[in-house]
Amino acid sequence: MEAVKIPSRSELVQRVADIVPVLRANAEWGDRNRRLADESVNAMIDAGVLRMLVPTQYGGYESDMQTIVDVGIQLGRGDGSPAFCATAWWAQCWAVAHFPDSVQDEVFASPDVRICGTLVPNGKGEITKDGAVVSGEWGFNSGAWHSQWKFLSTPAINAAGEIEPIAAVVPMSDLEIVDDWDVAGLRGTGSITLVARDVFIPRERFQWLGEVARQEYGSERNADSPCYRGPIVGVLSNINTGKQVGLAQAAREAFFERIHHRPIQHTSYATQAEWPITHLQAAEADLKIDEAEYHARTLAALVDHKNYSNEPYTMRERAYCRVAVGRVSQLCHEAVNIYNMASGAGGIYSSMPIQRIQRDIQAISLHALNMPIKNLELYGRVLCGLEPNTFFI
Amino acid sequence: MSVTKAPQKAELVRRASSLIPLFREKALWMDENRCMHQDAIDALTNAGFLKMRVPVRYGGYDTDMRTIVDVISEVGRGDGSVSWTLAMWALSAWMVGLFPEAVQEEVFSTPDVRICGILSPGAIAVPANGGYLVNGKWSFNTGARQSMWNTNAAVVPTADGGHDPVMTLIPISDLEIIDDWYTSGLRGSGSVTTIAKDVFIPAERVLPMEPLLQGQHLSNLAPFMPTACTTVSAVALGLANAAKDAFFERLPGRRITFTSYERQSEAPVTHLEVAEATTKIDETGFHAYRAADMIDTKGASGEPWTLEERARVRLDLGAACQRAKEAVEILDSASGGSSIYRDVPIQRIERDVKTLNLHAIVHPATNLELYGRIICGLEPNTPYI
Repeated sequence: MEAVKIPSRSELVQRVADIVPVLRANAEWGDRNRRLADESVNAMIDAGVLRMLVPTQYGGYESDMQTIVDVGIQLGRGDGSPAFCATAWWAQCWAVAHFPDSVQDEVFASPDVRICGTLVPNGKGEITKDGAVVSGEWGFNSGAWHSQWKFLSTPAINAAGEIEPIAAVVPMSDLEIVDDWDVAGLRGTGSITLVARDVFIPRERFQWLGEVARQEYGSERNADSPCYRGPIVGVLSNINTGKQVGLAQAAREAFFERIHHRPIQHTSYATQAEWPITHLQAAEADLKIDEAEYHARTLAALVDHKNYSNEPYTMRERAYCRVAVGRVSQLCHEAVNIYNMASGAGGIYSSMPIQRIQRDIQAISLHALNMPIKNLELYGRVLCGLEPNTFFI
Repeated sequence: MSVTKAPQKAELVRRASSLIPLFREKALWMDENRCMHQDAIDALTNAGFLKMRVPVRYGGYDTDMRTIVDVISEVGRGDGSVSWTLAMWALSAWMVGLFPEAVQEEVFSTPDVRICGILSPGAIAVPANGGYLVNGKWSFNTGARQSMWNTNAAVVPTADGGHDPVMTLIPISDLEIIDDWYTSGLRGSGSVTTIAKDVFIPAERVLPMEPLLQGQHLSNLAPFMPTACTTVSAVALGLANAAKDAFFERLPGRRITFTSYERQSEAPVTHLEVAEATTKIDETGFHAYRAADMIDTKGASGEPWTLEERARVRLDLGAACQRAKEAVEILDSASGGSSIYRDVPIQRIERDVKTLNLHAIVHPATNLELYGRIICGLEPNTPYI
């Protein structure tokens, strides 16, 4: 196996900052064609983005969470769709790093492997003596067009005779594609539906979700790695924050590029920059972005601390993981709304980044893990002394 | 010259936390009597808080900004008026540190001296006999009746018919006090009006305002406005935390009248309110401590301040107060009809935070506009930056 040099945090962030123009140049193509441009995927591969949560033994970086936030911000500055796919791919790499080592040997044969999928259980699985046979369909498979594997979850009957979801990793070649990705936002993610018809999954390629929830993982070699410790809620929340801050920053960049030339039609203001309303908008959006990054950084610091110290999470900390990403969504969405409304009718052309950023951040805010109100409710329950009303915590 | 051993930072904060029950106990009295209770003044004095902004050479602590934010916000968890008054006393003591040594020696010769202060030029200072003759009045003079000195702003008429703003330092005994402090909020701060009638001020107790605001004064301290803004943002943080404490204290026994909820704590609407308020309080802290760390970092490195950095501290003040107000309003509105009685803290906290947000330097809209101007490439529209 080749010895891989893990880039330093600043080196990696610089590499990703350098591909921002590539991602921007391909954003409109992705929007029209409802999938990522190959050039965007290749740029992320070359920059090392897709290796960040791949185990080091396979050439990955096992990056810490602050670096993930940094890189997420740069990707978001570039384009929402590749940033979103990177998050999805990170999540599945992290999940597969808990599978038995023999499965990882196969999946991580290339450290730039793309595994699409979601955690949502669908379809049904029938346990056989040497594995499971799975049928069903799963929506929202971001980056599926560029993936080699799919991570899926499906209910099955466990040894105790109860219904319990399994989480499995399946080669894309075993699945059928339904191109239903005709959507309002994150169009470039190509988050199509995948269908399994009686697909056989060997035993080692699935885990019971109960084991995952109890952090009883299948990998021996990754067992001591800080990167793969802790409950899934910490990492999954954390990888979602950076891109949203980056999208809001991209909206800010687009805003400042125009305000010195744009007049405010039907008023006496010669430029948008001299209009006091602009000053209020600029300041309000700015502070929301800073507050969003504050939550992203606070969450990253928490997860990194837990990962490296191996201290257990309190319930309140687990709930904070959820509310942090929810509040990041809320604040970034609000900031982008301000910039969008300050961009005038000229901002609605398909060639203008602000209208795409607006649609993308809205789509992200509707995602089940990000949706602010859901996360706020959960956090509030815990602060009020109630039990959580979800197992995803 | 006395050499004081300053308490550890953590010790100062611990003292502040331990005084919360006392300030809470006196809060209603202060609200009704429109000034600070003597026990509260004694507590601030004994805890050493009046020394935080006094230079070490005069027996003070020269406390760092982060610790000052910690202390003032903890005091604010006890009572908003005490917190605000402490902020004003701390800031005015810092201001005296900009005057010539002889003046500082005179003022700081009184240990734990209390100096109140006002930034709006409310008087005219006319040159006379090696000093100035001052006439005018200053409203909103927090803690004036319980202070020994007053830093005030005035204007000196210039030959061309204009005015130069100056900062003056006057013994309270030279001023007349009008008790006009009948207000909706921060009632315990006793922010009365002081009047100067032909008061003579020696020249060394008059400083030109412009260099002071620019940070071009004799001493190598942080610039004035960032210091003032950060100090005040701690009051907002304290009030927001006070509201959270008050809300959770009442939550266990409360129902939601005319609904099927047996307990308020079980209602999903409550969960949204609590989470929203709590994240906003976290953000209040983010703004206050970002400003404090900026001052401490710049102070240590000696790096000059950019205009945008100065504006960002004003933004942080405005944002801290705005988020605190939003959080308090959420918790206040979740506290039901029984919370409007005068002995229930949340209604006072709500009046206090609203009052804080109306202060001319604090007002979020003013601060956001100013920061927005700067990042849009315009000049500031105020010297107070």
